[in-house]
Amino acid sequence: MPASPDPRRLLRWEVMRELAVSDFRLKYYDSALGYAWSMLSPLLMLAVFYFVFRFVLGVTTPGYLVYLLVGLVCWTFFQDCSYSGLTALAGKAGVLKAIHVPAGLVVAAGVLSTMITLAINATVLVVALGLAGRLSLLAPLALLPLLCLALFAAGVSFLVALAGIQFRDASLIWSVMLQACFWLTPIVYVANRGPVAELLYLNPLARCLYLIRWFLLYDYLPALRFVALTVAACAGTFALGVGLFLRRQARIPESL
Amino acid sequence: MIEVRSVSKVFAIPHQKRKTVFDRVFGRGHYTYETFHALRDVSLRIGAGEFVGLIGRNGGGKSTLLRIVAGIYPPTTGSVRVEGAMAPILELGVGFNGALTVRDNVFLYGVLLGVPRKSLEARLDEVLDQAGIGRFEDARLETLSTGMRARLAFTVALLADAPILLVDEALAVGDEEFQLQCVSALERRRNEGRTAILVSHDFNLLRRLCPRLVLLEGGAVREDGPPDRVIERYRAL
Repeated sequence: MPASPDPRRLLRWEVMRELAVSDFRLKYYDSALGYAWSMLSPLLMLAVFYFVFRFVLGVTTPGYLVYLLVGLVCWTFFQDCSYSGLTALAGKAGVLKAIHVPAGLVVAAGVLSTMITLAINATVLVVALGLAGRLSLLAPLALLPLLCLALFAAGVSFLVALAGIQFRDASLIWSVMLQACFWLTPIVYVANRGPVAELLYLNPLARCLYLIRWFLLYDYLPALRFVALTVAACAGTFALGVGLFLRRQARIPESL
Repeated sequence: MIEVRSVSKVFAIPHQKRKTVFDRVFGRGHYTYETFHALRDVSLRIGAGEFVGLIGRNGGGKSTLLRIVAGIYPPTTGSVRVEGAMAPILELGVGFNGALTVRDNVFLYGVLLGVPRKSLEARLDEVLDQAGIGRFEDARLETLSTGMRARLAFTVALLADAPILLVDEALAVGDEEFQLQCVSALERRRNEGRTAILVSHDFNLLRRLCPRLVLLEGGAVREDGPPDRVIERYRAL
C-alpha cells in the first residue's frame, strides 16, 4: 500500500509556497519594468563597478566583465535573502498573531522568494555565458556551490531574523555588516592567490564565489578538501540559523 | 473537546519595546520589565458539540485565551488539550493583501487557514458566488469595499471546515445581511454538532448561539453558566 503524505506536512509546504509566491509577485507588481528590475539592478551595478575598476583603477584581468557579473548576481541574492529575514516577521506580524503558522515558515518563504529570483537570474546568466562561448566544461558543477550559497544565505537570514526581534538596531547594524561583507568577499576585485586569498577563504560567502567562478568560468577543479570545507561551513551556518530560530520560535508571535 | 488546565500567561513588557545591541555592549543593561498577568489559573472544559461564548471587558484576557487554545501563544504554566482539528478565525482576512488579485488572496488566505490549495481551486467559483463578487476575481483586492472584503474573508474562512471553530469578534464588520448570513452559518455548524468558542460583545448574538457563556475579568474566570446569569454578572462588574 503506498504511503499517503502526512496532510499537515503537505499543508506546511503549501503555506510556504503560497507565501513565497505572493511575496515574489508583490515585489515586482506595479513596477513599470516588472521582473526586469531584478536583473537591471545587478546590471546597473555592473556598469558602475566596471567603469571604476577598469578605467579608474586600471584593472586588466582578462574576462573581468564576466567575473564581475557572476559576482554581482550572487551578491544581489545574498543581500536580498539576508535582508528578507529582517523584514519578513514584522511584515507578517498580523498573520503570526492570528493564525497558528510556525514563524519559521514565514522566514523560509521570504528566503524562497529570493531564491526564485536567483534561479531565474542564474539561468539567464548561464544562457548568456553559453551564447558568448564563455562557459567552461565544468559549468554543471557550479550547481553545488550555488546550493551552498543558498544554504548559507538562508542560515544568515534566520540569524538576522532572530536578531531583528531582539534588538531594535538590528537593521542598522546589518546594513553596516552587509557593507563589510561586500568588501570582504571578492565580488568586484580579483584576489586569486597569496595571503589575501587565504584570508578570504575564512569567509564562506567568498568560498562559494571562488568555487562558482572556478567551475563556471575557469575550468579549474580545486582540491576536494576546499569543496568539502565549503559545504560544511555553509551547511553548518544553515543548521545554526535554523536551530537557534526553532528554539525561540514558539515565543515569536507574542514578541512581535 | 477542548480542555484548558490551570493556564496562566504572563507577558514581560519591557519599558523599552526592544533593547539595542548598543545598550547590551555598553552595559546599560538594567532593564525594567513590567509583568502583566493576562491569564491567571484559567481552567475550562468545553465538550464536543458545545458552543461557548467568551465575554468580558477589554483587556480581560479573552483574546489571549483564544490564542493559547489556538496554539499561537504558549501558556506560561498549565496546559491545553484539544481533540480535533481547529479553524481559528481570530481576525477576518488576515494576510489579505490589497495589491494581489481577489483570486490570489483566496488561495493565500485559504491555505493559511489550512484548506488545501486543490480544494480551493475546485471551489473558487462557489466562493466568489457566495461572497457576491463573481466578476471581479482578477481585480485587485483593494478595489473591493471593506464590506465586500469581509464577506470574501468569511466565506473563505468557512471553507476551513474544522470540527472546532475559534471566532474572535469576526462578525463585527459587514452590513446587516452579511451579519445574518454569518449567524446562520454558525447556527448550521452548531446544529451539525461542531464545537466553538466565540468571543463577542454582542450579547444578542451570543444568546442566540451559545447556551453557555464564560466571563473573563482580570485574566480569571469569574462566571461560567447560562447566558442570563453571566451577562448579569458582567453588568455588575
